[in-house]
Amino acid sequence: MASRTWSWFPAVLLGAAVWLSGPFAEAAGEAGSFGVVQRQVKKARDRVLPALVRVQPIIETYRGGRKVSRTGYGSGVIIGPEGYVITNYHVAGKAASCICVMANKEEVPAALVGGDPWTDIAVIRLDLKKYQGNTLTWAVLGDSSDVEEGDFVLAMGSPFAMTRTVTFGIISCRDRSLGVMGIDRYQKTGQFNTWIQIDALINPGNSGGPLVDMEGRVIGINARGGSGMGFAIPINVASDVARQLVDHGEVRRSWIGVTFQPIEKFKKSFLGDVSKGGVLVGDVDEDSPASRAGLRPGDIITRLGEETVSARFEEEVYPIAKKVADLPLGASLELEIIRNKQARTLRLVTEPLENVEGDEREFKTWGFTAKEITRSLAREMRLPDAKGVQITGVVGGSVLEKAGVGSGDILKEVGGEAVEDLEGLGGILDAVLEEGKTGLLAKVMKGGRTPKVVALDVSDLVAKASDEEQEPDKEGGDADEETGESY
Amino acid sequence: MKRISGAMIALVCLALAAGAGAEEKREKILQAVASCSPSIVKVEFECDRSDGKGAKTFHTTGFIVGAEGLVLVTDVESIDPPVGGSYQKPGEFTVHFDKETEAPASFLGKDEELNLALLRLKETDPDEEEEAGKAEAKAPAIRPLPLSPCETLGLAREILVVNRLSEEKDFLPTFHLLRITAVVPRPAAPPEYHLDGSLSAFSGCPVLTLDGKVVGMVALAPVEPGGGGRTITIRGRTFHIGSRRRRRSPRLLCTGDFEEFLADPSKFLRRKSWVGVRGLQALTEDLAEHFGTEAGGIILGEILKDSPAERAGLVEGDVVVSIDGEAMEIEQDRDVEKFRKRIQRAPGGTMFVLGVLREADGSFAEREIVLEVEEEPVQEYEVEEWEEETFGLRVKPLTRDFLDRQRLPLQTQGVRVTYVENAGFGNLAGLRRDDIIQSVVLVKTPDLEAFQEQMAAVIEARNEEVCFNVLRGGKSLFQCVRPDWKLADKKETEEE
Repeated sequence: MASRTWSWFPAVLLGAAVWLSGPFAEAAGEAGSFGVVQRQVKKARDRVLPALVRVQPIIETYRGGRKVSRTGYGSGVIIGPEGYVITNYHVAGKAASCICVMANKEEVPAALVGGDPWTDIAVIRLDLKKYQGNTLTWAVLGDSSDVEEGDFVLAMGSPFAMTRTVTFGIISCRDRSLGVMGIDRYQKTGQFNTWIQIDALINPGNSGGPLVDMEGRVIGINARGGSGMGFAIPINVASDVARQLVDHGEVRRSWIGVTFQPIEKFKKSFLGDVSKGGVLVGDVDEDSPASRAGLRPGDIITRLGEETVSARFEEEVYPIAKKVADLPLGASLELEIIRNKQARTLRLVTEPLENVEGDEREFKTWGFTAKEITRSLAREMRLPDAKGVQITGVVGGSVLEKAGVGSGDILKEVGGEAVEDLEGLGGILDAVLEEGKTGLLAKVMKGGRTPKVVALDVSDLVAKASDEEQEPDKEGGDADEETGESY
Repeated sequence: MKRISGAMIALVCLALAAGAGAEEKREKILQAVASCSPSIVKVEFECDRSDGKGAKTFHTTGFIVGAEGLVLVTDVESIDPPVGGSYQKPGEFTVHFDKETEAPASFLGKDEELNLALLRLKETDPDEEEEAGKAEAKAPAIRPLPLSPCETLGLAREILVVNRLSEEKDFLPTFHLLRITAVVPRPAAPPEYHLDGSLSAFSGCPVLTLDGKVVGMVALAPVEPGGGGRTITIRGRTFHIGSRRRRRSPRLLCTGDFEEFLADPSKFLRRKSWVGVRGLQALTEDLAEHFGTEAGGIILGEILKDSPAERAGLVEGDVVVSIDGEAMEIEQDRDVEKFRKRIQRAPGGTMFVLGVLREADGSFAEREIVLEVEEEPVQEYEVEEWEEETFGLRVKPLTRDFLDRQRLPLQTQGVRVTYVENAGFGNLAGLRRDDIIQSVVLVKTPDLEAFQEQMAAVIEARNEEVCFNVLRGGKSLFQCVRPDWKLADKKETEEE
């Protein structure tokens, strides 16, 4: 009887094997591929997540005529054993100090090393003396020129301040052109790079966090997102900027005063010959190296120094703009251009590219804040010159407010002395109080446009200054003006 | 029998007197209304829409003044709309006196600051009227309202504002009895009257005393250019409060405010004059102390390039202390309006001798400067648009005030884009409203005439690529389109 029972067993086994080799085998295979991806994702995660930080900057800003502090949050990634962290300029570029939440959940202070609004990159440095963790992990940087559409990626960061968040997606476009965007009221960004577009979810708080490939290398710094799309600054751009910020505290770029346009749509009009390359000069800034060299809108630049240049489409303009920016400062540069279908050469000397937004300062005693007018800002606002300072806020009841001076007005002259810049204004105002003048005239441009003379009554300020002088034992200064300890 | 006290008798007499007084007042009111209402007319006119999509009929109220058949109305913006506005100018006005009587009228003049306009009734030819089927129309009985001085328009005075209802309601008279509750003086402008009731629905109507004397009218406040509301600053932050829409609330004008206008309405058809100074400021006591001179003058702000002020040799910071030998009576900034109006109302070519203080080496010295005013340059709203249908564009010539607002150099040439049709060639080229087209197919566009010729040439030549150089936000930019000419031809054929 036992032999009969066991005789069907091999048949059953065989049947099961055949059955399993059908659909289940397919599923098992799929589970295998999926498992590979899953493992790769975890491997990539493990290489970068320990280097991810949440960045909480304390930013000094100016509102209502006063310097005030505010906080925010974003992300960053540690890039070296010294504790340098790359993040976005719009996260920490103006930070007086930062608190970083590490992967092990410790909070470690950090200080701003430098920021570059043109690429929206900033670097902060952790105070490693305050870090109690056993080891410090830093991320390996990849090569963003190798990325392709369809590559799997991880976006890491702190969306809505939720630290150590990982999202998954693919690269949707390796070189998305977003044009030049505003990062402050007048300061632009995105002029020198295209962006890596992804579909991994990016939310407020992800800014500054790493975009990671499946090898666990950082290939971008996440900076923009919304409507299911995210945009990262390619790591080749970010790392170059970060290096300069670490070495010099700033990024030095050249400027010639040209806005480039791609040539494709205008080939027939300008060149008459579709085979020729070049890049179109769309605009030439006044009082710029390009204008002094005689460059005009409509010229086609075919050679910059030793290199030929050509930009058929929008995406090809950025590398040319970067090429110009990377030229040495004060370099003499020969350009070959085509004008009215005739070739000619011009020569110019590069100048430093300055940020559009200048320094801002609080004049606490006087109850107002003011901003430097840079040459770039003067150009943007179409002011006749860059002299004076722009009032950015006045305190109610202050000297300026009582005289009818407000935000947006440009202060040109105080007590007969021309205001050149913030430092100059500080000197003039200090002298007024020292001399004990109770009233003086100031000249302003209302709304940046209409000249007006105002009488400033400073008798209260002079009296207060005099009282303070007579009581030197009393504590002076103001807590608001104390800055954080530097690390 | 109770004694009837003297007090009771007095009370009864008072009551009777009051009743009689009330009745007398009522009679006066009715009489005043009856005497003036036949002179109140309804004016009807039609304006074509600027976009060509039909026309709109407007109605307004006015009254007859002067034996010449003048009709005084308000709402200049509708009566004489600016070029480039939503509506074209009306062809003719029809003045309705009653259900059976009407007469045509033409535009005579306007005062934009008072927001008043004058129409003149046209003499009609009975034969023409008969031919036009208006045989039964009666000739209007023109009864001008005599205007009286308005010294009686004071605080706590009662006034009557009289109107007539619409044709559907048989033009029956109606009125409002109001009391003046405040009079706010304004320099170089009519005083502001506050009333204990609303003037809505009485725009263009006469204002009477209870004796029936016409002492004023209800006019719409002038349109505020650029919108209404106010900008205020709190703690260094700027806010805008109130509506940005133009405010057109009715207000009371006394006869003295518009007698100059009635005396010579054609004067108000003249263009305003200008001198080209931005920022006039009163030299007040507190400023004068620092200037080391006496208060009562006007500090000149920016002297605009290529302006009468520049040609006269005025510079920023000059203080005008007299005009034609008369000392300036300027105490505060709003007094500056008197000077501004004097300049604006002077005909172009008028010379003024200004006494000017100019600072040199820390002190002020006086000098005389002769200033010749000029007619104000053509304003942006006055120039006509031109439509380029094939490219779906509307453009306007550049004007000085537009360039000034955009902070562009006066010598900027080109045409300004005012409209871009969706999916038209202009839209496909990337053109936007307020772009200044400076060249077409790489040929400079100095003005509208050149642009018209260039576009005609481009369309005729069927250019494969049409390239525009535009100025946008002060920056040069090239925009290009490769027009689908077959599509354009097809569209043109369909329209025909």
